[in-house]
Amino acid sequence: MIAARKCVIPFLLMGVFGCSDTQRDDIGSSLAAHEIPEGVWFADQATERGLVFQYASGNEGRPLMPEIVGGGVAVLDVNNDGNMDIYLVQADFNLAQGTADQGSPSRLFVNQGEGYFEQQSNTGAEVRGYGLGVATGDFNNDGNVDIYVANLGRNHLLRGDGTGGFIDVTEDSMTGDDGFSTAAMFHDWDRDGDLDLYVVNYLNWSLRNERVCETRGNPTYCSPRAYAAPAVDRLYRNDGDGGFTDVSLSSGIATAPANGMAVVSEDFDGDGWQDIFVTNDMMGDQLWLNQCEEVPCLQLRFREVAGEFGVAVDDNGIAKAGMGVVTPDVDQDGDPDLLIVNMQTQTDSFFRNEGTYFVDVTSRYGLAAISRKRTRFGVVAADFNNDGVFDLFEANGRVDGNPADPGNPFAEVNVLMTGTHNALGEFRFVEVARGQEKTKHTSRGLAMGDFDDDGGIDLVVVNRDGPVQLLMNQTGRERDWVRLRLLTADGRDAHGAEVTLVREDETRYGRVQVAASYASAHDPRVHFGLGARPGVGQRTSAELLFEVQWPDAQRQEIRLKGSGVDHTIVQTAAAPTAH
Amino acid sequence: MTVSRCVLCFAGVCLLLTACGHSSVGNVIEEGLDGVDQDLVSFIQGKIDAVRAQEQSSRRRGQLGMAYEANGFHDAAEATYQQAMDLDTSDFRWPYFRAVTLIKLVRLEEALDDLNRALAIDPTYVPAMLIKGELLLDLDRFREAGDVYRQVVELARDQDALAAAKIGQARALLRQDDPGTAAALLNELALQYPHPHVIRLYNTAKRRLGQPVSTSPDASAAVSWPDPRQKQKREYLRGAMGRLLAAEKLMEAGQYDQAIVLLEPLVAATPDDVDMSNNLAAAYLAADRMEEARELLERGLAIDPDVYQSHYNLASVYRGQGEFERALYHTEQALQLMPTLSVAHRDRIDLLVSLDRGGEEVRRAIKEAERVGAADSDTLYYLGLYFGAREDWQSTIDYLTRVVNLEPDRGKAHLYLAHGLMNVGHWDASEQALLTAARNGIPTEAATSELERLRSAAAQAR
Repeated sequence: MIAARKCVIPFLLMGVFGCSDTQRDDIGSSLAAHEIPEGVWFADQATERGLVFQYASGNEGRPLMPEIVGGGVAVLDVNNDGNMDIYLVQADFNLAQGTADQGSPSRLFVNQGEGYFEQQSNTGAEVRGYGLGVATGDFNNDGNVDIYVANLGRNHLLRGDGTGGFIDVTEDSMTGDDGFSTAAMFHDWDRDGDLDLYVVNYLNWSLRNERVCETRGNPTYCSPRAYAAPAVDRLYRNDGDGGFTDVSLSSGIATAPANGMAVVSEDFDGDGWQDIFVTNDMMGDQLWLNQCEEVPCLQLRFREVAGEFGVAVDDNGIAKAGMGVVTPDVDQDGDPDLLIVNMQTQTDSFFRNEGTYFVDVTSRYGLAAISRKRTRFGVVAADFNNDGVFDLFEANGRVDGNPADPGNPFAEVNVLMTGTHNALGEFRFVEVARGQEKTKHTSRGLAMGDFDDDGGIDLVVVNRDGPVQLLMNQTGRERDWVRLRLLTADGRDAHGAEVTLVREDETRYGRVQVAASYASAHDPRVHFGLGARPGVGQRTSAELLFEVQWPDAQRQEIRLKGSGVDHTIVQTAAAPTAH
Repeated sequence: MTVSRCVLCFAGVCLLLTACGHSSVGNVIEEGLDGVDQDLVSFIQGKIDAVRAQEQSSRRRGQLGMAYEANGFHDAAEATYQQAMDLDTSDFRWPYFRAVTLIKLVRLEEALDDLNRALAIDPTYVPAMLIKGELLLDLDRFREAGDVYRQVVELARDQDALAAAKIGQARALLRQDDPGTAAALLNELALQYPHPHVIRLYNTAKRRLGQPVSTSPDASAAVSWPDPRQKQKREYLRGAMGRLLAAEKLMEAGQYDQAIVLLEPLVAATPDDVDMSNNLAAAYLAADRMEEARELLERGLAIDPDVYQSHYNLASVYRGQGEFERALYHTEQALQLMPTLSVAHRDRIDLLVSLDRGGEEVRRAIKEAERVGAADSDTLYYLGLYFGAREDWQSTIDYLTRVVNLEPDRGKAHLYLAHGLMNVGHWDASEQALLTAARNGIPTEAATSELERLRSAAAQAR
């Protein structure tokens, strides 16, 4: 039996945000360099640097489910000039009354150098649709990054030409899934040398089946549970000829419909094959273990093991909201840990990887109390201050409105945390509150990149019905760093390549991971904060030893001189070349 | 000014204040009076008026607080409960309910303070202690949490509460890196209370000890326990949505008749609201009141024929009454309206088989089901047997091969796959399948004999 369209959000999930920070509602404030007080890690300089964009949900009063979900952002180098550019998906039409061609297009902003952007037009990337998420990768191995836009409705695959131009090849590639796609990612799961594509779908939603939900006597967005219509994700295997084959059924992916929100790929069990982790909203998360054994893998198959590995639900048996996800190796033992962010009243879920299972260490890492105050979507774990320890940034925004808020009832402040070790060496995240911006938005997509190449990782935040934020890092340049860009022999970013930095007193791990967070794609470079505090003009001159494991399992040792710079390493059969 | 004049002034001020209705605990908190649901608005207004009529009554304040909390106005609820507490420090309910509300507001330290106040009044109220244990775990106070759960184990009489306490103890132990003691505790608990969450947590503890684990159950709900004091708040749910929520919870708890009691007046008040009728029909169905369900659904479809839930539920009625053709019709109507409805796809396949429709129709149905992820391994297995019964061996092999790819340890699937393979002369493959079935604990002697018989017969025929 099936209940009807009317429902209520269970009141346990309706947390009124009673601890509001400042009520400032001015949005998009930017600070010039001389105005930034000490102790500020990030400063929003979007307007000043030419990144002017607003993700428009199209809402006109009546809540329609897809309006509360998007949008995403990609950080990528579209013209191969070494500067990171930005691509922002757009929706901008009302789902009940408008059509895609009436909305504004998605936008490409090219980095002119040092983190100043210029909006482009007529590049072929200005697709229209109800945009929600985005993925990047060079699917045809021509050395030029491509874009996949995840929409409500038909998705788009845009092939890049390396000069900033794109061609829509959705039809030819047969990747135009028309579901409610919130996220996607490229990766070479069968290790045949080209990138396959995974698409996350959220719900089987249509205007006709939209539900009426209320909270506190007023209409609001429904929980996905109200629809009882979980959707099937899609796995497309790259055929190597510009086309893809939908292997969702034969791979096993399509046997478990769920309310998918975000996706990340790692080799969680250390068997040399990349696995897939999908966060699901109010349902158990999914860990798809790659069943390939030989190279090349002739038939992609996955087995769902989240329950077995202890990451489907929290240790109280509760399936949480499951928004963004990252896989920082916080304990630096060489295997990826898992951090899933959730909605208000639910803590984050931090699962430490123990090889064949995970342990819930959310409380131990200091995340329980901080995290449950807000609804988290985008999340980035990176070394923002280059002290060699992971930090955390969470992009927040409610899904049910706070009637007490006189401005935007969905807006919340974002949260910055720094990783610390106590005297016993125990790791914890601690909130960095002092000196940080307190503006509130309904934040969703979050991506990282170093746009001014000063060694400090910057952030782009997409805000629903609000201006995009370009948070320029103010603290990373104070310490030393080194960064690698790893390219396969075909010249594409080596998704999944693992890098080990071997130093006298420590070993550090990193990987090429473009897809993580929520609905977004990152700068593909592997960044290491080196922690030393040099004097003016000084950098580490000692040789740095890196061990690289390429996606095809080739292992190579690379010695590089010079910190404070980017190194590009191209895989070759014999030995990699570095420059 | 003389003393007598001061006193007079003071008295005058007090009189004025009293006349203005200022209570010693503060003004009545007003919230939710601008909502669209008039039933809810008038209910809250009534509670506010009751407080104004008896401003010093903690019970009136508390009832207003319950009205706020039950209907989602948590800030107002918390403040009103505080007022009730100020008026009467001996009533357990107000600090307890305030604590629960503060948890929803993520004010955890304050919630803990109020829980302690409540437990100082009634130290043996187990549900409050369980909430306190959970809160302490969230605040990383694992040892204290363990102590609380130990007390609950001694006090609890209810099986679910006892299990929840032991689970809490185990969680506290795991967080203190003592998986050995946690495993022992959970092992004992699993024998008496084999809830999926207990088994899953037990497996977690065993993994941390490096021990082999059984297959973990699918993600399950947490253990819940009765809380009679909190249950009172259900009566304070108002508005159609509030009652609908309460009815949904009753349905989840299997209390269908009580859900019907809540839903019938709502339908009577809005007879043309198809959604509301559908909810009541679902409750009738669950309570096996088929005729009432059918009548309501048919009426609903006459008002609006495009509600897939109505079609699906009506199909369920007809299935229950053995009218498979009608059931199939309405199932297909539901699928036309909601092509991705997994349960309807599976029901359609089942109905086609029951109606002995041809293989092609069944195959088309499965293909459509696959497209939306509705074809799970159970459905494929079922079809493998279906086609096997019709001696369509290739189809049997196709479906069962997919089953064993998805579930390599499904012994019976290997067994029936072997049957299919042997009937098309694939002897070696059949033998392999039988070996796999045997490895998974399935007796294969009869099938092995059959394989040999067929193999010999084929050899002689050559």
